[in-house]
Amino acid sequence: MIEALGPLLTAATFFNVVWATLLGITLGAMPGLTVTMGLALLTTLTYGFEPTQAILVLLCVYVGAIYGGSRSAILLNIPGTPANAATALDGYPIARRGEAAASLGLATSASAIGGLIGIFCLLWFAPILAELALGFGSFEYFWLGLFGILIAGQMTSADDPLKGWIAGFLGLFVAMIGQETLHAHVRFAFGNDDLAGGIALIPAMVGAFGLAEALIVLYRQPAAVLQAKIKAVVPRLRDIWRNKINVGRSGLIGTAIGIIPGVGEDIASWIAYAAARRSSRTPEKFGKGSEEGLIAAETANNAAVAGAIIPALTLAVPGSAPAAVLLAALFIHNVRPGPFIMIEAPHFVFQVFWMMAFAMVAMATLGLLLTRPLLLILRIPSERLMPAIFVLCVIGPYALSQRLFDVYVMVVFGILGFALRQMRYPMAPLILGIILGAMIDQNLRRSLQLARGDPIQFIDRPLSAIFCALCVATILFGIPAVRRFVGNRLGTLVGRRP
Amino acid sequence: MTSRRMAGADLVTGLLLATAGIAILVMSIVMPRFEERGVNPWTVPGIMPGAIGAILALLATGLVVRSLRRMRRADDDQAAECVETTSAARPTGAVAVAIAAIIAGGYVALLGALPFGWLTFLFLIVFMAAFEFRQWHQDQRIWPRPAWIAAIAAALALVVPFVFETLFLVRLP
Repeated sequence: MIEALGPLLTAATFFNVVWATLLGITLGAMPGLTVTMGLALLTTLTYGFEPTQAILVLLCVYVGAIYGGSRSAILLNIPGTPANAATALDGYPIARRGEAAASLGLATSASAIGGLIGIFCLLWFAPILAELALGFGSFEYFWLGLFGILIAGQMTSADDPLKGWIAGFLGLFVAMIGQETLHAHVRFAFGNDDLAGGIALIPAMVGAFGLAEALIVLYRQPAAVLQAKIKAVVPRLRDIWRNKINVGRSGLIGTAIGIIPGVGEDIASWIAYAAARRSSRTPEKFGKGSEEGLIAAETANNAAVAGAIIPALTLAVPGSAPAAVLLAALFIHNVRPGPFIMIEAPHFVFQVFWMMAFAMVAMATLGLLLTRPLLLILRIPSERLMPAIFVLCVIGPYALSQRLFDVYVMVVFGILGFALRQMRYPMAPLILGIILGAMIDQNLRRSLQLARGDPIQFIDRPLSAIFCALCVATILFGIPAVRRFVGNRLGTLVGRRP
Repeated sequence: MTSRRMAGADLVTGLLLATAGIAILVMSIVMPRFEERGVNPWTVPGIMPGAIGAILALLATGLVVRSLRRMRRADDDQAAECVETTSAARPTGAVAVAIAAIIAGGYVALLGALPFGWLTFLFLIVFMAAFEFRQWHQDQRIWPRPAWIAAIAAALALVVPFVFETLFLVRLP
């Protein structure tokens, strides 16, 4: 682990950590600029960088952005990223009662501690998961991919898993467009040469998370920045210590939820928030300015960043949409994520740990020092910011391949993403479907070939049977009647009245 | 969206998706099976898209059935969640999205036909002017806002190509 640190101790690393984390915080703070879009654009910009520095920049932007969203959540009551939606519930009321600096300080401290919990879990879990994944075959990869789609659809749309699953399977269909790998047959191209090459991930992500978000910001009413005199923001480590159980629990929840494919930081923060509320002595304060709620949300969302990277590195299955972009960046820079990473490039996993540690330190430092300058950025009117974002959305997809077709793909996914989000379809399962489609396709057909069509062989192996059971359980728990039945039975068992 | 409008939107979407799912299934069934090459029938290209089409059609049918039930139960008098307002400083709602889509569509259509810097300058000016038109009419002095818009557009149109082409060596459209 110490050997992995050596190559990172350079002036270039220090410079990149500072500007990338600051860019991430700014990006995250501004509603309309999403982490995923920012990472997708930076993936194209850092194409010419040395691989370690490129990944470092992307990780710092990722960490900074998830934290930066707390700024607008607390001061605007609009989460800068979906991961900060739970933060707004309590952060904004605390700010409204004249304690904006306290709220920002708590968010900063909680984010830093949550991130540290996450990266230590990464250090511990990643080698274990990679070791386990070495035993995966076609059957396991098929079920894992399918489970990823189902759980992402279920958890990102808990009120309406049907729409989450529809989004996921739509994403799988998009992945089917173009030339398939086993027999080189072109599917669903309708004679178009550009479509025969398939739909690239980066343009689809920039459209779904960049252009769609810009359209949503324009659709909404402009928001007013809280007029508060912000004194110097200081770390609230005493408050964090007083809430140490909440912090520990939220950090572990965040990391665990981050590991689940496609689910991401927003779900992690909501689940940690709900857990904190259930365990609190003052649950009535949640939603009205509870420090416990704010701490739980911010600890979990930053812990989920490292959690999302664990399956991306060890299974090549992203834990979140931004982790999906990171995965694409790893491939671009010739790093092969997956079970063999601990054999082929074990130092890289440790380097990721150090990179994220640097990012956490930079995030905490810059977050405390730069509160007032960042407030100025929040005041930029959306009608001036959104066209600039659109220009960046055009440049990003074009930069990778120099094809206008990718710009058109970005526009189509932007409009589709806007329409689907207005109808409450989640985007994460759609993108996860695009990412996992090829993997599921290849492994399904290989499995069928190995099994010679015998379905029993799909659940013959222990890991396959476990993944299959998880898929079935996810589907069953998506049915409201089943959830109610299980909830009532559990309530009766623990002695609660239904 | 109100619950009745959402149920109506779900019904239309469900019908479209169910049709798409069936179309995908049919197209997958007629995909070649390469029997002349001795390809294993379990690896033909149509297996995965066929499964996706069937599952999509099934899920969409579920959406249609559910939306029909909800339309029968929905309240008619719920207020809309996002009201397009004429009193806001800038257009919002569907009007804002339509304006943005038209101007952005024109920008994308002209990519490659004009130098990127000039096209971006025109796009930014037109976009910002379209959204700040109401505020311009309310301004006490006429010139500052157009001057600011032109300055911002010119600055971005100069800086963006410089940063991407010169610093990051990225080719622009």
